[in-house]
Amino acid sequence: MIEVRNLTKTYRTHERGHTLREVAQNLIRRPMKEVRAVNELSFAVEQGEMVAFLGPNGAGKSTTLKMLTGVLHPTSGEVRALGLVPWKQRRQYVGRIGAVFGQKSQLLWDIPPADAFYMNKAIYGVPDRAYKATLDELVGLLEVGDVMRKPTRQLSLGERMKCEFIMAMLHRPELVFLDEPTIGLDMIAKENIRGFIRSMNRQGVTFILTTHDLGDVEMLAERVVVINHGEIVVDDSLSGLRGRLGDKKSVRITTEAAVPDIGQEGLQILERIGPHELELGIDTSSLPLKRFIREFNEAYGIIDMAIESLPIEAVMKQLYAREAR
Amino acid sequence: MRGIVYCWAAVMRTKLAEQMAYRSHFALSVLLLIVGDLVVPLVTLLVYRSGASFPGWSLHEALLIQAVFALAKGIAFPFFFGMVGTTLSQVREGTFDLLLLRPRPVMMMAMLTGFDPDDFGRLLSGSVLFGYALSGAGGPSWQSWLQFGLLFLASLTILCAVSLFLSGMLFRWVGSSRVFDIFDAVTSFGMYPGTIFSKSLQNVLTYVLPIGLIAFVPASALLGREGWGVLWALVPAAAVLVLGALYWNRMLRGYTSAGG
Amino acid sequence: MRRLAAAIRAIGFATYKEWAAFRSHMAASLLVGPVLFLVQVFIWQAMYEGKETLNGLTYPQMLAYFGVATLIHYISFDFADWNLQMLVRSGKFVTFALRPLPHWLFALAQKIGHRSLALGIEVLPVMALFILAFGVNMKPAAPGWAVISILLSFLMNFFVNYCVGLTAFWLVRAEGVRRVFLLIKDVSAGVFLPLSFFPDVLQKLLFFLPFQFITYLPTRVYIGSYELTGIQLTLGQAVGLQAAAVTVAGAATIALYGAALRRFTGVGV
Repeated sequence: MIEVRNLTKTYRTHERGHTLREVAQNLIRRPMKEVRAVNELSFAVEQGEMVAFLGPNGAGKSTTLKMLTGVLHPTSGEVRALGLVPWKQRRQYVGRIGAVFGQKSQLLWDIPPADAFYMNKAIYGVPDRAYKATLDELVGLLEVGDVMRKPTRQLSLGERMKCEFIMAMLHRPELVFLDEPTIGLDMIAKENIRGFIRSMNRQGVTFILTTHDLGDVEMLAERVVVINHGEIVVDDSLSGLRGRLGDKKSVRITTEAAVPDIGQEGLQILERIGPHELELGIDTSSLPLKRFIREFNEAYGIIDMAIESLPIEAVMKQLYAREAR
Repeated sequence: MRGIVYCWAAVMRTKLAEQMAYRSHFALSVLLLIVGDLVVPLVTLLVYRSGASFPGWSLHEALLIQAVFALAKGIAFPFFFGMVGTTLSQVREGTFDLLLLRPRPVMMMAMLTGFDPDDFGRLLSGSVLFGYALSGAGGPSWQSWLQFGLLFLASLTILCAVSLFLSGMLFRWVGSSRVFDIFDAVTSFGMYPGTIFSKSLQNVLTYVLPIGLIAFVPASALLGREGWGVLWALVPAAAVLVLGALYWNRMLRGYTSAGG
Repeated sequence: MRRLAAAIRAIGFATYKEWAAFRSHMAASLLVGPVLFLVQVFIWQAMYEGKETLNGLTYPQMLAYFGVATLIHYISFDFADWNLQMLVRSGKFVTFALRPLPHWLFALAQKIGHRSLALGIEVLPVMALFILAFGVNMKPAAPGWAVISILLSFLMNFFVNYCVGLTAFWLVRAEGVRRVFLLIKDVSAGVFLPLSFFPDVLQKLLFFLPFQFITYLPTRVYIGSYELTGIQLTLGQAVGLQAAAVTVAGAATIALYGAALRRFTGVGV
């Protein structure tokens, strides 16, 4: 459905000075710097997939997204999506895709979403019957029947986001780009939006998602692509990504006797909460849980204990922190 | 084609609904535009009252030029000129990308989203001024009306071209509201009798940078001061429009290949 | 006091840097100013055909009026109203309410910053163009009075615009009114035409309004003769009158600012 080969985008920016002298010099001459925002990306996405693009701020995610949506021309490389080249056959292409940007509203601030929907219907040339059917379905799924007749400015962020999704889905796109679709939403609203995305995905819509909310990733994406410094550092399934942590567990433990600073193979103190309370990291390949519990109980006496897999944040932190090659 | 008309209608409907959400604000901005358009005629009136005049032009005749200018703005601004404001704010805020996600020509989308019903208010001030000026300048013949009609089209064409130039500039010159000042400055040549300018400047203003076509030439045709040869002016008008469209598309390409 | 001066300098410098990035926006005046002036040249050339004086002004004096008025316009140019109403409407004003410096002082410091940048980019180059390309006599009659008068105009324009901006605390969505007001301000300040061209009744009214102190009075002081509604003042008297008016406007601004702040904190953020 999408095929990307050696996609590259470079642009030039100015360097600005700080001191009075530099500022004065900048009035006349500004040094230029070339920045490689996206560097030789290659990947493919199949129909019906739900792929999350992750990466720290400034990693090149939105530049990639802009090129995939046909908004930005790449410096070099190829993209074929829905059988088209996005930036060359833009009109044909964007008629078949949808996009929701958590931080850029497509609704019109002063009038009800219903009016904005109607405007999009005309712009996308959606026939009356199809429009009505789709609208009814989406409104039912998201439960915004009354909401969409109120002026947009009176809606809560959650209600507005639901309407943004309707706006993006009215023309039945086959491929939808989501940029931080749940930013700023409360837990319930996030759940609603994620549920909606899942049900659209079950209908065969392909989703490309960029987000900083790992909850979105865990609830939605089967596949994760991590971009850093304009390059793909990981392209893997979510469980594969977890596997990279090895068999590490995190253990929160309360003991009878105080625990001294211990160092042992496969065991490290992640955080010391008090003399009797610790957060430990355990690599079960070198220190099986059974042995750890027995030894620790004998030495210090376990009062309470909670065992968890290391959260995905830990993997992400590692990947994000890596320097550019 | 039908799709495009339908699209226009839908957008216009939403724009009107948006305006109606703030009726008092709408009324005020219409008032503002009327007041704003009347500043130059007011100055002209005051100067004539003090005993001075443009040689060969009565007060009514001079005001007729400014009336035609207001009328041309009253039609061109709601339909075309709004795109300048659209590119100004949307390129700066980064929301112009959303227009590129629509399966329609970008130029049309930019004009559509810039559609501004407020500007029809200028038609009101223009018509009142036009009626007043014409009442003191004598009834034109039908030939004059015909020439005027055709030249008025040229006037709209030029304002459309100017909108394209200014809007195109804003892809590179991000967020500069100075384009409006540039518009006012450059078009101010068109608000006065062309005869006050030197001969060479008059030619420039008719054929090279056809600002004179916005108001002066149509008005003087209506006053019966031009022959049929004046219709040659339609050629530079069309040429400028073509250039404007080419320039705009070029700047758009620059925008989609730069960015960041 | 020294800390205040340091704060104003720091804000001014930050604004200077901020605007240095947008210097091309300011440099647009190099096109706009001379083009508008060129149109004026042609208009008045035609108007003066066969006449020595119009309303007591000769042709060179008239050109000098528009040349000087343009310069003063650039020096005292202000958008405090726009900035303030934007802060109020978007709720960003709260960050200023939290600072230990009244916002009007902050805004004044900002204005000092971007106008000092404008001095090099707009004012002096445009002045040079007027003198060299148009041969306008830009020599002030009395440099000392001219400088004081322009500085007072700088403050006056700030106070008037800032008060217009302050109305945003009461009228949330009234840019329309504000824009009408500012346009009327420019007309009544003499930007488009010397005030002596207005009907007598209007001249009398305009004499007592604050607007003439922004453009008309400093321009006439610069040229060397002040006259409005038949009242003739020496340069010293004119500048004294201007200083008194600026003091009143400043006091009014501070009072209105206090009221606005009370309203802001009373109603909540």
